[in-house]
Amino acid sequence: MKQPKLNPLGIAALVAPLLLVYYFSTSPAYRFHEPGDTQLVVSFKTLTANLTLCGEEEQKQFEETASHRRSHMQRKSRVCGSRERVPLRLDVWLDGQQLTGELIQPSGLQADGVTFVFRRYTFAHGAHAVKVAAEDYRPDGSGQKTVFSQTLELAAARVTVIDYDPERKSFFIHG
Amino acid sequence: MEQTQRPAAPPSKAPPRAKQGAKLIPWILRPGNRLLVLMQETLNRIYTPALNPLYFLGSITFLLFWILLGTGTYLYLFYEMNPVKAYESVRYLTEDQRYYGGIIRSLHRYASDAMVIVIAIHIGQVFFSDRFRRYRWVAWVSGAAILPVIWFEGVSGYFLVWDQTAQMIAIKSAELLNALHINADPVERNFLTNDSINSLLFFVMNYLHLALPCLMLILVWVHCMRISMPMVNPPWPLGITITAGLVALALVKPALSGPPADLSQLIVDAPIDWFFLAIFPLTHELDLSPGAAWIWGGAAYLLFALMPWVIREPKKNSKPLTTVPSNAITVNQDLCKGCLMCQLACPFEAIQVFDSGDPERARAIVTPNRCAECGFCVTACEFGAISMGEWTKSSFQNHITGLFGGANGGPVPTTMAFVCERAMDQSDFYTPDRRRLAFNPGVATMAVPCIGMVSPPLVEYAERAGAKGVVVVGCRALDCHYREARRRLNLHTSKDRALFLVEKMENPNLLVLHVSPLDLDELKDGINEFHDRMKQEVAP
Repeated sequence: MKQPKLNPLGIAALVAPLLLVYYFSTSPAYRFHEPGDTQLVVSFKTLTANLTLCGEEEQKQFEETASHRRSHMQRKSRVCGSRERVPLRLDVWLDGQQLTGELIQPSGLQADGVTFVFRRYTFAHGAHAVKVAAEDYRPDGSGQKTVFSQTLELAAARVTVIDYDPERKSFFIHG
Repeated sequence: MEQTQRPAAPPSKAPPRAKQGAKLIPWILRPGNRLLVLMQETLNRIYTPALNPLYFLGSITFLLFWILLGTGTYLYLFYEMNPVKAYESVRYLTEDQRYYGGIIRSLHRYASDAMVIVIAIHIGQVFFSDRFRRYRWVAWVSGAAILPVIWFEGVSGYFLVWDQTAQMIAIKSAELLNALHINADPVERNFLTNDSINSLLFFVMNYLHLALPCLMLILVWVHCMRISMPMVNPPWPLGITITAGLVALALVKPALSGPPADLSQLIVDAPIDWFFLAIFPLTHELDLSPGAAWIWGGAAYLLFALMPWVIREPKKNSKPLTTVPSNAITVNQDLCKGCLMCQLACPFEAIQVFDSGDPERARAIVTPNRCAECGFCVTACEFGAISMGEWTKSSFQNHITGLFGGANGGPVPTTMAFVCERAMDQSDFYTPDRRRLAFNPGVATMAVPCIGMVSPPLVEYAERAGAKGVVVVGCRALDCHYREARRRLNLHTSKDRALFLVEKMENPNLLVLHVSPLDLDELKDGINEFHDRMKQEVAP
């Protein structure tokens, strides 16, 4: 069957939607942040302490019987106490103002896994006193606590990442 | 108004009216429907119905898909799947191969954007023309399932470039994914520093980008599976113009990468492809938390996907009575010869002919939830085995004979009009007993669900009963609610028809009018003119 031909107006009308593609494929650009903004990311993972520790008797018994166990069981550091770990208390201050103060639960159904932290803060660039405190939370305050406190010169449009080194048990800045 | 056999009637100066056919559409869709009809008619004037892009949106989408597949295959040959080399490999394609790789990349990108536009119009058209409910729900739901796949295809394509836009996508998507709490380790931690990204992520994204089109094809198959003979290729003038337009766009504005991704930098301004990436500015602008974005987005998507059950059927009493009302189709198995005529006639594959075990006879089975009740099969059946409600082939014969019996005491009609209820559903178009046209009592009329059911025997019945001419009034061109009216009519009237399938029509005085709802006055003029001509032929 013979196809009818397109007239110039038809061609123009067909190409017109491509003008939408022409413009909206890149424009208008969207401003997600102000040019003077800087971003601070606090991100790390850590194993917090077990909720209940081995008692002295249990620990002693464990050490005494170590030689009777198979080698891989001898390496196992703990066979007593609870698998559950304590939550992590995270506090972040910027120029003395608290941005975060929360308890973060360990992962896992029995809360026996790693505790992951990822917090992002956006604010105006410049010199800022940054303080990050992470603590294995126990109501009596006996948990291990690590604190990072520095005045940082945070450049505009930069992302600064504060991470935690479990070997050194201290915070550090990436890059 | 479009017609066969003779030139169009002179245009009327009466103001356009857009009410016809609307009563069969739920009230909530009517304003959109009027706008759609206006758009279709405007484009019909520009393109003629044979080339109106609004009638080929599905096949244009197919064309864009093939462009994407072809260009994507070329791009894949050069793409390096790791965060260090990905950007450089795309830069090489764009700049060092500017007049082939660059154009192909631009085509790939712009064809995907054009696909979003075409699909959006397609959705609007299907929705406001009320072609998504009942027997069409599979097409709607499968179409809704295709949308997130297309969206992910687009977003993953932008990710693979690994420029600053990709960085924005990575971080924003990670925030969204994190809200699902699938991983204990926050997804954002994968994009902490430039060193924390591994090649495996690019490998996965790249293969998802390649694998999802296969899923898309499966969903498209489901999308079309209840439609007989779907159009998958647009007319070549449209196809060539669209492809040429995309190439021209690629030359005028080559698709370029932004600066390379650097996770130590904060993305302040990002160039956004609003066809795919609008969700990120939107959630930012509305200040939606990732969780709220999932809830609102999910609810909106669910509402969209379930639309066939959300929009209700118009009330029966608002629907004008047609001579042959749509009704359930039944097959008299004693009369069925298994000739396949009904199966071939059905536009939605609702009738299938099975082997009944009797070697000499197959059986036609109707699947009720696929049946549109268009009546094509009733008149297609040579043996009168199929009925729609109480209407069988012999009922048509009796009714038509009765129309010309002069029982009403009015003038004996000389013309018979078969009118599609969707093309003309205004009650004042007919006499109160709905046996004649109100504006011309010399025309006997029969309102049917679709003119696709007007078969050679019906025209012959009318002629034998006394009609000197037969007018068939249907919807505009490819705008048939049941898709196949024009093909069915051509099957009956054109020389190209398969002679072994349909009865031959011996030189009938037949006028087929394809009208738009805006053409009421032109339609009246056309029918009156034809009727006058028939009367003159009758006069000694």
